[in-house]
Amino acid sequence: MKKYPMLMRPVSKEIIWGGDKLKREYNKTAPFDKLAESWELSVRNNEMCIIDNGEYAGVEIGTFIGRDPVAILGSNAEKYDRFPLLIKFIDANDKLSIQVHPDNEYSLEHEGELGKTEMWYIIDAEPGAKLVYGLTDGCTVEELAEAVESGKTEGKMCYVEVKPGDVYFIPSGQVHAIGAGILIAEIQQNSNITYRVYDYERRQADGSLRQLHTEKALDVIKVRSEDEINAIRFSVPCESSGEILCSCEYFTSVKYKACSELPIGLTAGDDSFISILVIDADNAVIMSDNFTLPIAKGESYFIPAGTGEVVIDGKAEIIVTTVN
Amino acid sequence: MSETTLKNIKYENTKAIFSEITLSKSITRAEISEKTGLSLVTVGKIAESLIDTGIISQVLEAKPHAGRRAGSLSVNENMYMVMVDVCPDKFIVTLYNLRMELIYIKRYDFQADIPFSENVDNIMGKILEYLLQNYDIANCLAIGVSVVGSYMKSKDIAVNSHFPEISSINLHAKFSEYFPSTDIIVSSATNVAALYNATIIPGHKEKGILYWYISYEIMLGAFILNGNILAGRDEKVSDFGATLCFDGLTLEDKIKISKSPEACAEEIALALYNTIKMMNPHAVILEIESILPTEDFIALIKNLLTNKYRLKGSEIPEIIGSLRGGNSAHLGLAMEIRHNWLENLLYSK
Repeated sequence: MKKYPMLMRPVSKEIIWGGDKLKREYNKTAPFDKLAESWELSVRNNEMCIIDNGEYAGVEIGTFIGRDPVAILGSNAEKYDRFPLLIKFIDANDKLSIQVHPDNEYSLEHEGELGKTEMWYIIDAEPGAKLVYGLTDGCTVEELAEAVESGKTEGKMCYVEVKPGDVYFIPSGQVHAIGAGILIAEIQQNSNITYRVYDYERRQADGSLRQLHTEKALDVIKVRSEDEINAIRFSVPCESSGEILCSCEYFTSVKYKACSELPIGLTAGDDSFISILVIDADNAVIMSDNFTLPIAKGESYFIPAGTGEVVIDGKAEIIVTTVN
Repeated sequence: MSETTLKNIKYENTKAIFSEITLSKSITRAEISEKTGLSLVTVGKIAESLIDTGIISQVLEAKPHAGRRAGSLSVNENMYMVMVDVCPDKFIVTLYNLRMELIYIKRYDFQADIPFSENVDNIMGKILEYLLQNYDIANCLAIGVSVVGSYMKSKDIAVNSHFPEISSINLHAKFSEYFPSTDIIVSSATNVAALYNATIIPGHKEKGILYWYISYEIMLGAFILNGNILAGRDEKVSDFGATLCFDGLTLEDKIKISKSPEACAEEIALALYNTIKMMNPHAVILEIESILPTEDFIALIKNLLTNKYRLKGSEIPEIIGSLRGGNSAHLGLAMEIRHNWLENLLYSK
């Protein structure tokens, strides 16, 4: 089986809060204006990325993986009953709902699916852009429940101003919401289970309000200190020449910057596939054995486990994710 | 675009990329792209083709160590070029890597009591033995042979009035006998030294450049026009040393008698004056073996041209010293070997 860096054709998502930055600046195409999310590595039924280059061009990534899941995903992925990750670009032109994701235990029991721990890398943010990250200092889940009941949810939210390069780790149970004017690279467990706490009384195109999941949200919300969150965020030891954004139970994400004098060298060993998200690129290529391809800003690559050495040469900024 | 033009473009691109790789210990594709102005994709494709030949190698190690950067390119350190100076009383053998760095030099003196041809065979045997013991012959890119005097390629004979025995041997055939699987290039030492030194003149391929080599014993030269040696009948080198002086001696004889080029500066300047008037070179390169530093010798010559021989400033071409850092003839041969290898790679397909 030939293994090489596989360019992913993403899955486009139209959502009411979406913007047009991904189309304008990241070469994404979509048949609608509000491209809210571009799913850059997705192995989900009806939401499947397609391999866009090389010998397997045109093949769904899930079909390719199915040929030999262990050899392609790596030994670390064997403990999962499905493809373990979902990687996205998110363009929030308007604020997203205040929400929370359950942990695996709760989610498997109530939804039949895994929970969701995720990480955000802020690619771009308008001046003053904010997001919700946890509850206000000292606020308990009970106090939040009262606030929700009385329509004062927003007052219990902790708002943080963001800037490009910031990283936010959102373990399951952490209340969060992306604010308006923020472009994010999101790396998450492969789950779409979301409990909305509050959606600003926003109406959809058909005039209806989006569903809230208050009871389940209050069941799963956890209040943690920054130290507790960081302990989860860096719970798996990792050494890297890049900037480690996160090394949690599920995945490790590292940011690298390549320049002409210093290419990035990666190894896709037998333990895990590699996902490469290209945050920026200028006259850069990705190379492996007998393979060279120019890379562009906004692209995503899937490198099968066992591919061996991969090099990014030229000027580029990438986020590299592997499975733990 | 014609196929010839496309081939030429590819040749020039390959030459530029190969040149950058040979100038560095290691270099990334992106650095090559920046230096040459070629796109990274073009650099990548050409680099792949060069890697396939084995002449360059690539580090694909993900974890850089010992200063080696992931994906960086370098010449194959196992490959080398051999240069041999065929002199009246000795051979001088040098080995260069593909970056034209000297890695070995040895002098093999002739035995006085045996014929020239026997000396040649003895030394050839020793060279072969040395290479077999210390290197892989298959990694020898080519052997360059330089002779003092003219080399007639059509007859495979060198001609030198001071060294008549040299004509008794077919040089290319002799070297091929000992190194049957290796490319052999034979050339006049003066010509390859001239071509090598000419590269210091910007735009040398569109100019006329005069090169003179002056030592205590000989004076030789070459005229390069638009990148090619202007060869006389029978491909003879330009025997500028045969210039007659007012007292009936040749310039070369006068230098030999005085044992110092600097003592004959006036005669050399006069000969140069006449040559400049006749050939109108854009530049003059002097390779001088003299007690005086080359810059001082050149200053002396310029002063004589201006003040004694009344050459106007506008008539005096650029006069500079030769490249330093090695045997010009050997470096010229090394350059030719690399050039020929690239040409064969691209134009033989």
